[in-house]
Amino acid sequence: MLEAFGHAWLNFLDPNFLLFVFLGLMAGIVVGVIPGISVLFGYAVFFPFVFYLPAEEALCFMMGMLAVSNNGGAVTTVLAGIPGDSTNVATLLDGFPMAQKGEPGRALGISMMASVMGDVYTVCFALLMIPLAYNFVMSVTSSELFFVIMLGLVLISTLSRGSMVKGLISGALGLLLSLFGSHIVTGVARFTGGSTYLYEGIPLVPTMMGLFALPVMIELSAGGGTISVVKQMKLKGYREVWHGVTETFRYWRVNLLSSVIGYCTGIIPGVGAAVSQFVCYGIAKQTSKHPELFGTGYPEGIVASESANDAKHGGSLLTTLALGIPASSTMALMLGAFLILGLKPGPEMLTTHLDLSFMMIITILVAAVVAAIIIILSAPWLTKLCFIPARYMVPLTLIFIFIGAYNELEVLDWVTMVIFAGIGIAMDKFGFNRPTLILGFFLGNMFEKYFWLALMSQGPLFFLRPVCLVLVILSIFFLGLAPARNAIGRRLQRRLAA
Amino acid sequence: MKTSTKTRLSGSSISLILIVAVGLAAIIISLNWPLTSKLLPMILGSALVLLGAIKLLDEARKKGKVAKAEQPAVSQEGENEDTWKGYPQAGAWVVGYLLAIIVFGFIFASTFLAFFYTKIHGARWAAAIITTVITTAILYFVFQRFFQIDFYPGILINWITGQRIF
Repeated sequence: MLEAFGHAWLNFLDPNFLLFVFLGLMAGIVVGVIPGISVLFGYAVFFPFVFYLPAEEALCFMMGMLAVSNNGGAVTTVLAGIPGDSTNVATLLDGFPMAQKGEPGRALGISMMASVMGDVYTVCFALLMIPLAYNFVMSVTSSELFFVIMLGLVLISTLSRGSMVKGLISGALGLLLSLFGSHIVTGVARFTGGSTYLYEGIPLVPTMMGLFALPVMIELSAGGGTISVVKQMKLKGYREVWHGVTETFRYWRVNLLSSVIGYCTGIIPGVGAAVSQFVCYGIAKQTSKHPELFGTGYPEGIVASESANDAKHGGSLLTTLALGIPASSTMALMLGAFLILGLKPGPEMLTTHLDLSFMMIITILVAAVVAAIIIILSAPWLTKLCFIPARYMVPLTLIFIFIGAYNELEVLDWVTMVIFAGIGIAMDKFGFNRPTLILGFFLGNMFEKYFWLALMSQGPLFFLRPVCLVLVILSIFFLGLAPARNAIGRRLQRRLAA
Repeated sequence: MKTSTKTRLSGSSISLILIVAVGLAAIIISLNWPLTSKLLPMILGSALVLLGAIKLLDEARKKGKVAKAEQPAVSQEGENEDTWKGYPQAGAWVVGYLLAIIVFGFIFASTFLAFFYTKIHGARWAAAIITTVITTAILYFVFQRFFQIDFYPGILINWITGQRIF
């Protein structure tokens, strides 16, 4: 293990490798800074270009982008009161009031340092967790993997925003879409309609670009104007930033506790940073000596939410690497990258490719440190990205998206992308869950494969294995949780009304 | 007037009807396949039909309650007429761009898009021309020449040069 850890660090001596980490983090900063454009959009746009790179460089580019998008989002959150990303909403509660009080640099310094410390802790936790995860992964069979995938789908469907039934529909639809094309066992061409284009299944890249990238540009085009609704953002001197950076260490307890909670929530599929930041913010407020100051520009609030945001990455990466179950929508796209790059998540990532796993974890830390420095130095200019008018942003990005979808030099890929853009917009407008659909789409083939393997090797009662039973009970519990919560809420409301 | 608002299906309900139809289609199409191939499509198709129907009934029940309370008919997802404002035009740009690519090829279509989109959305002549020139130059020199991406030339060029259309 130590050898793999050392080998992972050696990659960072290679200038070519560092260049891709740098490019990834720059892309992450840009997508983070621009409100409404998340790292999901960034992944969808850069996905096709990444495949031309060797696995190490491709993965460090993607990890670099993921690790710093929160940091980029903190810039607009603190300076303009517009959360750059959904993961920065809790930072808004104290970051923006602090900026309004005339200390934007201090708020930015605190948020950057809290993020970096969150990443330092996540790397430490990851190093501790990998040996445990290894033992767990090595003991699971196809039947357990089948139920783990099912639990992952249930969690993402039920714990994410919106209607639970619509979340489940999205997951089932994603699974169904993954079945298009030739069946591995029988060779039957399923749902191809006689088309050779669909024989190998619906292509991944145009599907993803259509679901996530194109709808963002259509939305921007429909809305017009600029991304930012605020006229200007101001940042005063850098001394104030440094004051914020050093001040973070005064709140080391909140920093550590929020990182632990962020990491743990990251492990659970479906519980994103959007949830963990508020959990941490709430706990920090409850345990603070000055809870009354929260929401008025109090540093502890910024430290809690920003630490949780960043610590989450290590946790969600662990679930994705060890089990092949993406813990979040961004990790679902990361899983897609693994598969296309020829890497199989699961035991192999903790044995044969352990150095790659460590490399990704270390990339989180390196990228966060470098990004914090870059962001602090360039914040006044970065915020200008929010003021690019839609009339320039839309056509240029649209062209870039179409180039990305032309991965296989197939005209029908563009048609697929546009169809999925329509589906993506409709799903978004009618409350369906796009990340769950893409998760089902990625996991569909594995889901079917493990099902048949379990059935053939352990018979029709394969679900009676102890771990399987626990997973089935957990799935049923989470399926029942939301309706039960709603029923209790309704009863309480009726009592209050009476 | 009152009757028409009551009977009008919301977008969410239409999408759920489509989901049920997709589920049914999956079941019907997979009926003739061997068991190994059809089991999962049939299970998923049934799940879609069942979940779609449950949600549809739930929405109908909620809509009934809202109608009884004489409140404006807005679905629980907050979907209303305003949420689609500007989308048909934006969608038309994307579809138009796709059609232009198929007919004129990627580079020409992108040049048209860069120019007409910026100009029609209020850019000055100079800004629109500069954006178009820079975009075309990047596409041609960086992507086509440097990265050697063989962009789709379009039906027109293929027809003129006597090549395969797609």
